[in-house]
Amino acid sequence: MVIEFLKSSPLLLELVRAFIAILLALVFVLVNAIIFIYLERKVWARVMQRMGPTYVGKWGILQLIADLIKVLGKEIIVPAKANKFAFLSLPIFSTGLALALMIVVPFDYIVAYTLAALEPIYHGFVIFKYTVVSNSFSSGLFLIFALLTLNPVFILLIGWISNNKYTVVGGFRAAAQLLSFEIPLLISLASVIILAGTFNLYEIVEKQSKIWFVFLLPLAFILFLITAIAEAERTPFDIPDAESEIIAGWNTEYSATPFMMLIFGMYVRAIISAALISILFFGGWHGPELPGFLKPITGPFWLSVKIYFFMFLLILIRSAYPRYRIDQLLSISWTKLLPLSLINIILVIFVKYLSISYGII
Amino acid sequence: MSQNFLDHIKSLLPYAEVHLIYKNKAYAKVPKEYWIDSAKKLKSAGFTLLSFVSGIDRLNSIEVIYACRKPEGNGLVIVGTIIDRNNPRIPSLITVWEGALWHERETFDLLGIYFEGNPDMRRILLPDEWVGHPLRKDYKW
Amino acid sequence: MVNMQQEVRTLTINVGPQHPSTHGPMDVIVTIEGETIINADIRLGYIHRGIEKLCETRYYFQIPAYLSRLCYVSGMFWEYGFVRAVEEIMGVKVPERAQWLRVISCELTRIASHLIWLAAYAADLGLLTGLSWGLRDRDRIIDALEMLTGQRMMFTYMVFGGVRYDMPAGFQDTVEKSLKYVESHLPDWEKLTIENPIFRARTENLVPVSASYAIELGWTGPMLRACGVKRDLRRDEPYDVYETLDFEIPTGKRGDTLDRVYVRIEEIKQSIKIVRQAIKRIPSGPYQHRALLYPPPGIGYGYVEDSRGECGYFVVSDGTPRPYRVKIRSPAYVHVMSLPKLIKGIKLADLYAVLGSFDPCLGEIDR
Repeated sequence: MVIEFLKSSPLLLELVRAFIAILLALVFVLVNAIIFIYLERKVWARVMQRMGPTYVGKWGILQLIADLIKVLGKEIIVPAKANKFAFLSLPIFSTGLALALMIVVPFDYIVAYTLAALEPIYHGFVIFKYTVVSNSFSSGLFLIFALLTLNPVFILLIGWISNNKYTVVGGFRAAAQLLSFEIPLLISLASVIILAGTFNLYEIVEKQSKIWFVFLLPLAFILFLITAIAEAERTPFDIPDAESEIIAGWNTEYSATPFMMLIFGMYVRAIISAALISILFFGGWHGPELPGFLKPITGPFWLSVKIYFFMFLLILIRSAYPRYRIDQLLSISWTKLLPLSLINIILVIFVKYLSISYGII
Repeated sequence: MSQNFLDHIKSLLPYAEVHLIYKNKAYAKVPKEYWIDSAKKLKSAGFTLLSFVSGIDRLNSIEVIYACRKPEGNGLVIVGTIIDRNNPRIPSLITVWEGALWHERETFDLLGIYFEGNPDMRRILLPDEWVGHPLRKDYKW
Repeated sequence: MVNMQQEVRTLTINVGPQHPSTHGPMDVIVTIEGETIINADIRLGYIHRGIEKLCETRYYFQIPAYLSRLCYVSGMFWEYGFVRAVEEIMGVKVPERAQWLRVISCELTRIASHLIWLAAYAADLGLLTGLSWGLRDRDRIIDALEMLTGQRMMFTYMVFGGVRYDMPAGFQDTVEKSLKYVESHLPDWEKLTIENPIFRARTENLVPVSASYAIELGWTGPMLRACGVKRDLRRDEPYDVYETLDFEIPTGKRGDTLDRVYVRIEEIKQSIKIVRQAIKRIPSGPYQHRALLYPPPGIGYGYVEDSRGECGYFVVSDGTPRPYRVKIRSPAYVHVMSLPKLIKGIKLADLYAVLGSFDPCLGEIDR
């Protein structure tokens, strides 16, 4: 009956489909965040020559689920001097921000095309007919900029509201680091926008059907890789939450569920970094066609492979390098990355002229 | 070899009773007035590395000691002087060796010897509010 | 707390007593302005056990068991120093096999101590991979020591006039296997630390100390050698059979934090070399000399080149079965003393890089 009603109103049907698409993409990313954390523990353990989790489930697959249940069962400790309302609500905003980024990044492409490939199974259920939401953001990259720029504000607030010296130091570090890295990040992204001539992530991917942008803009890729690691606050740029220096920095005072949300937000940001690298520079879902019955999921397959490759790269970088100092980091940002990104902007003009005249984009 | 070393120390510190502990390890007992002088002389003679400063409770007096050695080559000199047990005060070695700072703090903490001229005469190993000096023989615990 | 109304520009932070990077319960009270340290003070004594006083109340043969607790990663040296001081007063001649066994056990302990330092130091800089690697390599060395002494940490292996146990059968093979294992990982260690660009950026030219100032402060061991002074008690004031052994003394050039890492990694290599020679050349014979239970009146100073520097014991004996006074000379105590002077003006993050490079072992600092 509900389906009959939905069929009668196309707008409502479209809204429900969009909602389902977002929900599925959300679930997809959250599941991937869990896989990422598991992968990090396992891969890093192998680099360290340990085993990593082994006891819960086969190869310790269920370890993260067990940890999740454990963390949810813990007591939420609010520092006596902290503002309770702000202390408990800020992780929600911070994590929500990271999740909002996800709608713009075409994760729902993977979900939607996989669903389309499965159509023979659920044939007839019209509401499952796929809809992609993220292609409708004509200024998707612009929205990503905006959401990324909001992030330091929340981290600084979290550090401040916890009312602890270590969190304050961590908050200031985060603010300094993220603000100074945003400029080279944005300028290196601007070169992609200039080359593709659009803000829409879908169109950027489609422009790469002939050649991946990494071959046209290698400098921009390197700059983006470095700044994306810094934005995700991962080693060697995990200065704001350095455990061995300022005891987890801005999230020192958090425990139980709010802490888990903050950590989850950080991992989601890392996944988004990996996804953006593969979408902006490595041709997104473009790749050799898969044989046989796998043909319909060629796009989702290649996009997932690329995202996982960069996740793996982030893990290996984390396991091989120590941490920079905050002043070294800032000087890298202002004296090396910023001039390089400006040079890159000049280069992209020539690259665009040449690639249009050779007809490769 | 050992005899040469002993003679060398004796000529450096003419006012001291010097005897060998072991080969190339000498013990020199100096009068209190020559405490700083002995340190300066030894330092200029190449014993530039201060090993430690400490004290021994001799029940009716307190002996303050310091040990210094040559950073290149062989040789250790332990210098001791006897001071009053009830008012144990001695000039600080910090004017000679910068590294005497914490050794003297520790000696003050555990034996109650006050080093005049040390800028940082606080307890170090025991809490600030501790009463008594544990390495004295009459300390009750 | 942070009070904005009074326009507070500085912030006083207690780094410790519980902090992952102080290597034990030590409190470094730093005043920072932004990220720059403008003042520092150190509070010690959180694990002061009064071992010097304890020694005055125990029989001589009971004491080495307490002393191996002084430093839980290089306990062998600490019992050895005391045993040497007492043997000096007694005038005991140690059998040759015992001297070789002492060299082997001490050098193995040095490797283990340096490895655990590397592990902790890598973790200080955020390189957690190093933490795991250090523990992995050290475990093999500890296995060899366990075979020799029956213990993994608190060895109590040295006795007056020799060592407690003889070398068990098959010990040579175990040692060789352990050394090979450690040696095979040393190139990886160099890549991970002294050749790692970010590691270098963090440690190079950080708090350089000149040779003369290091001597003025009383530094010894790897810290002094990193400043360019070729000083090693094993060579300069040789004890046991070190005179007959062939090894080099690595020194640094600039005296900065990177040199301290370099010197310690080189020392691991030299120790491996020494153990290999000693295992080959060890003579047969008695491993223990029946010594008197306690020494005659006198004073003695026993020193050992510890993994951190000069570990010394000043022992005063009055002819009773208990020592009259035992003064423990701890190298890490002297090194940590110079920390407040050296860290003024550097960044907060560098505090951990500098403090870690001093190899502070709170067991021997607090005593």
